[in-house]
Amino acid sequence: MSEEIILEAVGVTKRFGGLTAVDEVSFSIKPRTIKALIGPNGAGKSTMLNMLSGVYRPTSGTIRMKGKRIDNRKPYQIAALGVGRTFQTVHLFGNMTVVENVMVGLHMKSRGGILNSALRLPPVPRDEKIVFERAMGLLAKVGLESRALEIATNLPYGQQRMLETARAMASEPALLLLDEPAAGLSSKEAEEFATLIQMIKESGVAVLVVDHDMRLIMDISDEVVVLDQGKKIAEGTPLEVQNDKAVVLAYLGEEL
Amino acid sequence: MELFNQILQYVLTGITVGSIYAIIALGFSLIYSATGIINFAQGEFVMLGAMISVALIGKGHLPMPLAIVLAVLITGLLGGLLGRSAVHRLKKASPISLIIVTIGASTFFKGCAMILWGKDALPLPAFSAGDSINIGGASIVPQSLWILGITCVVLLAVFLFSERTIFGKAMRASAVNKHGAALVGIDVNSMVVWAFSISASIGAVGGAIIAPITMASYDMGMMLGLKGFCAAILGGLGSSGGAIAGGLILGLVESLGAGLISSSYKDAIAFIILLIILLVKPSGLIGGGARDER
Amino acid sequence: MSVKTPMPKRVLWPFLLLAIVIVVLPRFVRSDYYMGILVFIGINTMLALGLNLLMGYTGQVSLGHAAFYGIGAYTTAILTTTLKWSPWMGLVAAILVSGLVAFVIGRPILKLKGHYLAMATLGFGMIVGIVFVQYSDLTGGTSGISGLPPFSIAGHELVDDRQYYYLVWAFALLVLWLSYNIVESRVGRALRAVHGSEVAAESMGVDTVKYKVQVFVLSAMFAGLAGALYAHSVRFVNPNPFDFRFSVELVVIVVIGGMASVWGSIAGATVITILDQALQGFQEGEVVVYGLILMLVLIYMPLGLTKTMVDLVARRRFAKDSAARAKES
Repeated sequence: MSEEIILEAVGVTKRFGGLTAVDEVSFSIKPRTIKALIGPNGAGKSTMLNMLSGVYRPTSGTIRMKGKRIDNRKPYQIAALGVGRTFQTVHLFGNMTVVENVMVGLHMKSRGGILNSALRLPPVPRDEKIVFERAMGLLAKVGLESRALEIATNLPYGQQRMLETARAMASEPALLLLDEPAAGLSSKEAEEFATLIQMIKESGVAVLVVDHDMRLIMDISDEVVVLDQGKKIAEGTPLEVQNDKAVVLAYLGEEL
Repeated sequence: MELFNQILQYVLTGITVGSIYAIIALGFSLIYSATGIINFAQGEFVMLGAMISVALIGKGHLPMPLAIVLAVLITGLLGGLLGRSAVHRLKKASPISLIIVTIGASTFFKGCAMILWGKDALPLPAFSAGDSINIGGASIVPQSLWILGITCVVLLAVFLFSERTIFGKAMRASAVNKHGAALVGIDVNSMVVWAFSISASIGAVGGAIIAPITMASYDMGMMLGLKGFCAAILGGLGSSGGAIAGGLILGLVESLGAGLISSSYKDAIAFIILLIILLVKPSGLIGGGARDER
Repeated sequence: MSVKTPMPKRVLWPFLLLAIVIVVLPRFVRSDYYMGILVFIGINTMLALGLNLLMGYTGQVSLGHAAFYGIGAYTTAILTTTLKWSPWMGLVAAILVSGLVAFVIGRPILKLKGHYLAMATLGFGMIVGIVFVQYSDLTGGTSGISGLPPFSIAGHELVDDRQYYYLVWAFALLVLWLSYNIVESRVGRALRAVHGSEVAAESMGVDTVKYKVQVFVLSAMFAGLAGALYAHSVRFVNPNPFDFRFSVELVVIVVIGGMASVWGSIAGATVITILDQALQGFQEGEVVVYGLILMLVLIYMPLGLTKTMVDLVARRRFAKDSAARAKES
């Protein structure tokens, strides 16, 4: 098992006009690890996640993926470097079927530009078949293959979450970013989801989870980073963080 | 001195036309603030104000002030009706649908006007008789003064209504936060209808006051509407001050550009400005409440 | 072991059916007037397909599509009259020039979204229209350019609508086939992903800007092709057909036919072109009916004609199936 770092954020800061949402935050993630990013509301977690995936540009600081700088790249370029993500509200493509959603996830794994697609030149027909079969395989892993041809947004919410995750994993990213994946899930669904994340971790992926569901976080995380009002106030194992005075203060507003 | 006179002339013309653009732009802004909809039919309200006035004076034999007041009220009513049907669409509409529905309404109004009053340009008498007035070497017709005066009154009225009356404040509240407004007991749906109604009315006023100069015809709405829209974007959609500033600036630039550079591309000036603003600073000069474009 | 879901197959029989209809139809059409309408349906189909790829699939509103139609028409008109080029060269030039203009303005304009994009395309369309009228040295102003040469194939000139019909529909079928291929491919899915959620598409490596520009250019090229075919059909061009009104008509065609339905573009083009012609006599009526159609369709059939009908059929079948199954159990 290598000790190489997959993602490294150094001194990352994000200012929106007068508001500093993230203030000099640094941390790193290794492969085969589940790292949680937690903190009270407004702590800057989602902003941080959005900077990691390229939706926002840091005001200052650097973010490196496998040693390469990504804080100055566009989201699709960052995705090509091996970052996948899900969103706070499920961003499935409601205008496509379940399997088509996953097929888009395989976009980087297939070829075919507008010209050879329009003319249906050789790589395209065969590629289509391969992409479809791979997508079906991914759906089977999350138990959704029987609903492959349904419109994605017709699925019950819990399954939409699974689909979104399967879609994000389709490109075999080295780093998976999960933005509040447990939100809106029943406890049974949250458990199933936790199992899925464990499976993903075991396959060697580095996972960064932002969530409020403390049980889920403490159960599955190897490491935890705590933010409060944009600053990192604690980092360590779930147990260490749970007992950290600053963390308790931030969440409860007073010492116990 | 010749050049100075010319420029002064262009400036005066520009301000006059600019006031009309300002009124139309204000109509766009009002509806946009209240509903997030770009109302393509705004130009047709201007046309209806002019045409109905003409019809009431001609066929209806009404005295001009009464005819115009009635025309404004009728147009306001039509606007309100459009608002009601727009309210149904608001629930689940994409920008495309909303734009197309208002385009449809615009086409519909234009078609009705064509059927009712034919294709000819019809005259509307000036509000006061008299020859051109000479101002420092440039001349303007008395109607221009009416235009400037009435525009000021309308703009002031809208401003006072919006800032000082409960009703106006309620409308602004619904625009900013639909749910919040509903929670405090504001009937948001009827606010939308009123926004349309008021916009239609002021558009109609614009039509009635410019018709003595440009004549009234069934197709006068489109260009005026589009240019008024350009002015609204220039100033910043959703900002009343922006609408006024945008209108005046557009009128001036158009008039000066047509006079000093080239008159054949006069109409293109507004759209070139539109493109420039959209590409450089879509929220406009004053930067209205630019809503989220998802 | 679960039953394997088969890959949805490409549906090719409608192409064959359409080809047969196209070949056979002229036998039943006596008058040249109706042949002319069929030619127009073909031209409008190509315009609609391009706009559909842009609006229906990729979700980018354009209220200025007529501009590219006009650019294509004027390009070939100028080149074949002033420079005496052959119409075929003019056609190629029309496609390329339209595409080039789209490429130049596409990148900045497509950064805009929703209303703002619609307005920018509208502004662009208006400016192009004004240039057609005002730049009379090049375009002939309001009178336009006349005396365009006809296409000739193997020395035979295509002056008759009957013959032109085959040329236009051959191209229309080609455009239809290209569009269908794009839709049922990785690129098509990327386009629909851009429509569904740009930010999610980006997170999967889809370069949304690139795809938006590409589909914009492609739709412009289809429009340029249609413009050239139009120009050498009527053999003159003036600014009238390329105005805002026609841009709106194209949007109507796409919406009625069904956004994101390739076959819907033909359906929409057919319905609207015929409606257009039928209402020619009642000029005033046309405009009113148009407005009404727009509003009503959008309110009651937001998915467009084809999808709504497909929906209706599917629902009936589902109802029948459930009833049958209920009976069995």
